[in-house]
Amino acid sequence: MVNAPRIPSDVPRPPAHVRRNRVLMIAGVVLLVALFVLALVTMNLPTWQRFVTGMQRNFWPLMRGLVRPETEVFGLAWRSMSETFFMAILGTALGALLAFPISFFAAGNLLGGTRWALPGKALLVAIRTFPELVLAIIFVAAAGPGPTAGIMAMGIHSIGYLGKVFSDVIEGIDQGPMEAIRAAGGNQLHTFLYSVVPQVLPEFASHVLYRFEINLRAATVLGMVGAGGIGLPLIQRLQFRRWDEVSMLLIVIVGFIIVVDAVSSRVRNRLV
Amino acid sequence: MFNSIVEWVVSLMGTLGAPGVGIAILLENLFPPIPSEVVLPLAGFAAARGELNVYAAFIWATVGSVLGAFLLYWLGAAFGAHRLRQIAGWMWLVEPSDVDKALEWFSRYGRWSVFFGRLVPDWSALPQIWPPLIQTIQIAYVATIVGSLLAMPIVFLASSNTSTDPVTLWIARTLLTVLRSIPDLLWAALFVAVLGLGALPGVVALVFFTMGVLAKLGSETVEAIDPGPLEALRAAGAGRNRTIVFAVVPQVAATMVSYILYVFEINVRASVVIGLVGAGGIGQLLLRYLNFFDYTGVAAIIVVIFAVVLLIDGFSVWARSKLI
Repeated sequence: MVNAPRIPSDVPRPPAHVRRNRVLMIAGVVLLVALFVLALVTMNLPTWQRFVTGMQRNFWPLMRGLVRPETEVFGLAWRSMSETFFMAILGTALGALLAFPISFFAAGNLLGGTRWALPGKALLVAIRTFPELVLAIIFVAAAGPGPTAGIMAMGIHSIGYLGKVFSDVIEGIDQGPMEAIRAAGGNQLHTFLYSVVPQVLPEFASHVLYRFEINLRAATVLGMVGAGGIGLPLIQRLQFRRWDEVSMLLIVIVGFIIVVDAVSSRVRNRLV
Repeated sequence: MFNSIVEWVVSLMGTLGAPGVGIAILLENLFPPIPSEVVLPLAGFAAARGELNVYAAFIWATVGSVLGAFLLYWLGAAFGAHRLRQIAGWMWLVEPSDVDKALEWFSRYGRWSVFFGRLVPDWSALPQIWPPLIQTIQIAYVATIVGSLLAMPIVFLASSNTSTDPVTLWIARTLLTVLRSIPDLLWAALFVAVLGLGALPGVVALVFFTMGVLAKLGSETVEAIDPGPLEALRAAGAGRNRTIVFAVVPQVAATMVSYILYVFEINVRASVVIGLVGAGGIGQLLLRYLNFFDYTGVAAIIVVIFAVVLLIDGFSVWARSKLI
């Protein structure tokens, strides 16, 4: 019989900071679990039974539908996904066009001091605060249902994100070329056009593409509030629990997004 | 919970009369969730119906308010500026110097700031915001924990250096790609249709969303670890699970916890909007205001959400800075 390695009884106790960290970690885990249980108890979650019946009644039909989707709605799915795609392109373009000028007023190094950039930064934070779905509901109420409301919602919301990353890119540029053009006698406009813009354009383009990937996902759901795209046919079929047709729409959405993501991330890797 | 507090306060005034008003106001001073905006109008209402004496209610409310303020004052004085500075030292978003700044400001304008501060209505004037807001945070919290636990096995199966075999690796990665291509709101709409309205579909939707985001970030981290310990343990004859526990986990634990905090931030934001499609939380209240064109209500909720998100982001950034 092989003897198991015996642990000597006089192993030194771990040093004080290790013991303290261990106690802290255990306390942290206990706190997390306690909060978790508290949340579950106070949340008024329905009974387990309802979860099971909901899954039986609707989840299995959905799974069956994914295996054998209703091919008749493929045409509709493809058309409305194309609309979604173009909405995302226009919304991203609108956001990028509007974010471009604003970002220069949120970049401290162009304005000669961080504090001059504060109003611009505050504006961008304020824009980011409004979720695009809320904007979409407001625009649908104001401009009527249709893709225009969705494009505007995405455009406005994208300003907040793009303006922020644009200004971060500008603040991170190399000051050398700016000084060089100034030393060669160039004026403000020359410095801007020939040293700032060429440095930031590739990174701007990469961020715009990334935002486009996010907006394409957002555009698929904006239709649920009437703002155009595939969300409307989807939510209608979800409400009537037509799972075979829902599956077809889901397959088209997921497939489309996976392909666009793959292409876009490849282009982004080339850019930066 | 909130409604039961209000009911309790109302019954207190009913049984005790004017002294009850005093006690309610005293408690309101010490315990912010009891809104004075509920106590005083009700006292006025009872007085107008002749159930309360106006002057007695007035005097008792003043006594209660002053007593409550004195109790708070005593608490603050007993606690002391020194300990406050210590707390500010380890808390997030504040520095010890901020305490000094506030104290200096108070010694200069203290009298006026207290006078005007007591006149400004606080956010407890919007009582209907709190229960759904708390539910929103609960949805995000529960979903983050469950989703993180479920994501852990996928993390290791989707990393080329810890997966069992190429087929499992491919399946895990494909699963992740599909999970990540579905936006949070689509998950929410899907599970509202499957499970009905309420917080449950919100939690389930965010669990799937969390798995997609976290497993992707996690497997990228696992693939980037130092292969040395891995090879050492394999050479010593450790099995796959032991290799993961003793060579991979120690290297990625801190990063993973910081990713979980990051996903929690995302989930808090997401749990606000998933209510718009019926998945519980403050989004449902937001939707009601939007449908009634009550844009002041919408703005109030947005401001509250913004403050909460900022607070949680601040906490999360602070916790992550302590981790790495």
